[in-house]
Amino acid sequence: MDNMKELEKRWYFYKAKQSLVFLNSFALVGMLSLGSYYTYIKADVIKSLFNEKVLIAQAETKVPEVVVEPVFEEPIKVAIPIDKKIEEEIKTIESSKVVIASKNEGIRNSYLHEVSLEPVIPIIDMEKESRKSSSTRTYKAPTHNKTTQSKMVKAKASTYLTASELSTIKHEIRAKNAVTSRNTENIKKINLNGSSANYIETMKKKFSMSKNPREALLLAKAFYAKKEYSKSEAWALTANKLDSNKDESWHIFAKSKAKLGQRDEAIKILLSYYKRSHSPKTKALIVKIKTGRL
Amino acid sequence: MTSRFENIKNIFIDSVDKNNYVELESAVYNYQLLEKSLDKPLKMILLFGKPGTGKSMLLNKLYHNLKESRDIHYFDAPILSEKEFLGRVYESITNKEVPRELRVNFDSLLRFCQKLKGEREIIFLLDECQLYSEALMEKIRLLSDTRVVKFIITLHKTDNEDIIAKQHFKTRIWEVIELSNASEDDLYIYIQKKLIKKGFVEVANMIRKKHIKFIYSYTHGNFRESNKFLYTLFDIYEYFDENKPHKVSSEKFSKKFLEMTALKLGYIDG
Repeated sequence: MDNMKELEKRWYFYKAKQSLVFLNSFALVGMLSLGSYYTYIKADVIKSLFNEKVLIAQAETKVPEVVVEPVFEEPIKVAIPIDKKIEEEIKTIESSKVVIASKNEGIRNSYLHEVSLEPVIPIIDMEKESRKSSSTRTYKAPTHNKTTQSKMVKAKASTYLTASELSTIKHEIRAKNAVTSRNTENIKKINLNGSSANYIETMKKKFSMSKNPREALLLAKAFYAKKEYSKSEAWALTANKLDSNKDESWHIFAKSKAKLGQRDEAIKILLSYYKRSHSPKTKALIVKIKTGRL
Repeated sequence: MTSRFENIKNIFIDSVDKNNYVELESAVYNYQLLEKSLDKPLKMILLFGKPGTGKSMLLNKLYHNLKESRDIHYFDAPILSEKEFLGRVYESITNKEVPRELRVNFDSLLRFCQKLKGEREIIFLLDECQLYSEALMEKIRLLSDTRVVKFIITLHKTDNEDIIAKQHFKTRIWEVIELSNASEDDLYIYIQKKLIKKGFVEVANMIRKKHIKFIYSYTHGNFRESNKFLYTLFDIYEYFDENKPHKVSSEKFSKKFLEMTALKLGYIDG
């Protein structure tokens, strides 16, 4: 009975949590919609600003018609209100690319901003340019020539070697090659394994993170090398579960089984896999286990 | 006075009883497949599936349907000792008891079975075969090779199943019937049929598809899990019916109780 009361309490708590999550998401949605509304409004303001600019342009284009109109005895004093800020904005934006020339010509033109857009024509000093281009050409050319020249060795009659000189040089080259090959051998011999226990622990951690069949297989191989065949069998099985198409997982599993004294079982497993894969390696392993050469 | 929900919850106690068998479309199909396989010259038939997919129930149903017409024997619990297993096989075939001080010699049993070729066809139903040792499974195979004894075995398909072993099995068994969880519709029919069969029509009518959807989201149509869910659900119903009856509606199925069940079974965190 107490259990049921406890359960009901848990349910109330669960519901409270659920409603809290709901409220949170509701608030989030609200905030998002407010944000989008605000951006929309802002976009509207920008749009209206743009429209005002268009109006200015329209007013400017309409002005000549007004000027030609003979009905006007006096020039019109009332101007279309232009926001100063907008005017400044236009000026600053366009001054970077174009030159704005505005002229106030009398009262009529007090509202008329004659804006002439003149593209900035870059003046190019052709002579200077030609000098520049020639200097870059001369700069590049020598480096290229140098390298090619360094590679090219012209054979002169005086540089031909005698037979004895040639033999000493060959000897030197051979000695040099021997040293370099010894060095490479030394590089190959660097022990990358570290301690096996550490390796296994690392691989186990890696596998628990990634669940990658490759790691499981490496672990199986490591245990097999350590002659811990039951462990290698288990890891091979894990690798096989994750990817049953890997030859090696089958091989190590069967080899471990064979090492554990289950030779017949190992052969049966390999045969069943061979039927599917026709892998020559599997066939060779079957023969190896059968003949007891494992 | 006991609550009616006590009787309802008992319907969902997980038991392998032929009376609890619910004929679903998928179950009927699997049963027919199994019955047809018996007539084929097969040595072994494997019923394969995750726990709670109805393997034991299917085996039980087959046994009760055929025990009058065929030479069929059912080992519902696994016999782990080889001596006892061979003794039980011998007793089933000969109808004679093995004296306590004696044990059945496997080679003799094999020869005995070979002599029965053409005269008898004996079927053994073995449940929970994943618990049998490999050596015993080998003997079962040898017995089936006589073509006098046919085995129908069930095997759990768990997350840690031995894939290679399964592969190994497949080379020997000639028929594999894989059982799977029920679909959402099947689960609905399963619960409805169970309730109606026991006369709880009004409770069956209370359950809607959305409730089944809720249960299915946690049990994934596994019969054992679903039974456990429904048992717990009606247990909660019973408590509230006895202690806080005003909280139990006779018309609507309670979402609160469904959620409480999921909480109790650990499907959701409270």
